[in-house]
Amino acid sequence: MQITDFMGDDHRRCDNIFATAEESVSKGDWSVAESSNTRFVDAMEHHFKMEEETLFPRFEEVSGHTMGPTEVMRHEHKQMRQLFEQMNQAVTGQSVDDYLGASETLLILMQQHNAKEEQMLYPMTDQVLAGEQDELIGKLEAVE
Amino acid sequence: MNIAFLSLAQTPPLSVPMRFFLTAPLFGIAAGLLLLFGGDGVLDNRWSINTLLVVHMVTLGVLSMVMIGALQQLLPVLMGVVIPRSNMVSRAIHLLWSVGTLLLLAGISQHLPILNRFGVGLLALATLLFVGVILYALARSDSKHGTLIAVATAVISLLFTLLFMLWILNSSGWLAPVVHPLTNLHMSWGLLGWFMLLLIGAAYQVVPMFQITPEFPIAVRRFLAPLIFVGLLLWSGSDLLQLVWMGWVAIAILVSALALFAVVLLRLQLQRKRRLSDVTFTYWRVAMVALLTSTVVWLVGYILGDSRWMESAVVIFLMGGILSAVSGMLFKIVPFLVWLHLNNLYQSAGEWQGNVPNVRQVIPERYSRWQFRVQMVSLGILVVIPLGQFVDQGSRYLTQAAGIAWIASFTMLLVILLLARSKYQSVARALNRG
Repeated sequence: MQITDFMGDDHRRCDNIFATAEESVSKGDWSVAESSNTRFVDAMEHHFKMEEETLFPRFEEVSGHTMGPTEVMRHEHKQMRQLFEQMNQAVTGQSVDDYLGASETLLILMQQHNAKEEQMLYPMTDQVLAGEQDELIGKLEAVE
Repeated sequence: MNIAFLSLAQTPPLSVPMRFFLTAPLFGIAAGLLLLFGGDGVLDNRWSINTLLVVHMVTLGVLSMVMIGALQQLLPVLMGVVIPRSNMVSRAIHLLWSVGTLLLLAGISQHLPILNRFGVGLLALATLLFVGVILYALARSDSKHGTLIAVATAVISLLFTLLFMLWILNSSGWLAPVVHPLTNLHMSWGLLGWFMLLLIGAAYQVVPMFQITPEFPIAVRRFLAPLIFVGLLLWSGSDLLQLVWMGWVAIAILVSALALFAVVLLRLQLQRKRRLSDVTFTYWRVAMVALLTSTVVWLVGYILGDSRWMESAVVIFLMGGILSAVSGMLFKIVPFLVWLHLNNLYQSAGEWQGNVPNVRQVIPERYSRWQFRVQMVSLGILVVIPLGQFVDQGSRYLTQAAGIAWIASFTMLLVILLLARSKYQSVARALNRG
């Protein structure tokens, strides 16, 4: 299996939970909203963890680039985490407007981030780490 | 491998696309004024000077203006390539394109060959610079996405559009002719090549992204844009060589490709995971319905040999199809860019980003909804203008009403964009003061 497919599939999984969370907030269904928002943020943090602790370090090690694309991806993770924070606060304060404002901002940021990963960074990773993909995917699957 | 991609500096300054976005509504308002005061016959007869003027205000001043600005912004983000000296390039293209358009409009309306020469000269310079920069950037991209080929064929189509314009003017003593045998090709390359292919390239990316839909089928992404390009080449060949059979092949290709694109996109929208609707989504849906409608209307006109149907098709294509998609994109791109640039500013200053307004605070949804409604009114009036001929003075009143609606919708667009920019400036200033 290719890293591009494995990580891309995880993006789809996060997208789907995002859609559920956003929809339940827009309906004002706060009990569902709270749990789906938590599920979404957890899924995203899990995805970031796979990248930041396993995928990016290995890519940097083999390609020799620490200040390149992975640095930009980390920067965008940081920006997304601020928006998670705002979404969490909006759920606590039960504010539909604040939530949807933050979530829509996140959606655009997240999608252009994912596009860059899926169309460029992951294929580069597959290229650089050819031959050790299965082993690496095993490690990614083991991330809690 | 191009490892230098995705540097933080790849996001061009906000002013790079904004100067284009803010100029576009001004040409839209001007076109509205011409509809209002230009007398009847502006839109019910393709071959008048005022029609030429309105069409070029919209195509050069509004649609191309936004697309040229947006491409300079989107390419670095989506294709991972940096446009060298982005701010200087943007300034140069904007100046050449705006002044060139103004001179050409003046030349057409005043029948002055010298103004046409200068106007087209500046537009040609702008086009060469723009197309050169885009192709240079695309050649360096590692992306294998279908967007790349769609954008490449789109900008090459822009070159063809320009080429035919030069040919038309040169063979008419540099006086814009109201009728010319090559108008058809000039228009086809502009509408179906430059506008349509760029729209297709953008759609491949933004539709799955923002509504969380499945991707466009791989075969569509790979072959649709090249197919349309080939269709246009055949269309040109049939026209220049007078080969009727080739014309029918081209029509079959182009009509089915356009219809296929619209149907696939509408189907993807139906499969969207994100059920929440926003103005961009609605605008794109309108755009696809308009696209389908214009294809059918054009075909009917072609078969009947009735140019009025074909003119209606062009109006629906431009104002219902391309303008709707472009407006929808603006309401997505602009608030996000404001947020992104402010966020980067705050982050590099080490400040808490909670003060940065989110996209819905930069452009409130209710503002864009109102703009959408007014734009739909103007589209509705445009579509029924041909029916005005059955009533005394009907066309005239409908054209004037369309003019008023255009002025209103483009003014609203301008005000919304200015508000977004002033939000950016005031929050950025607050940071500097703090």
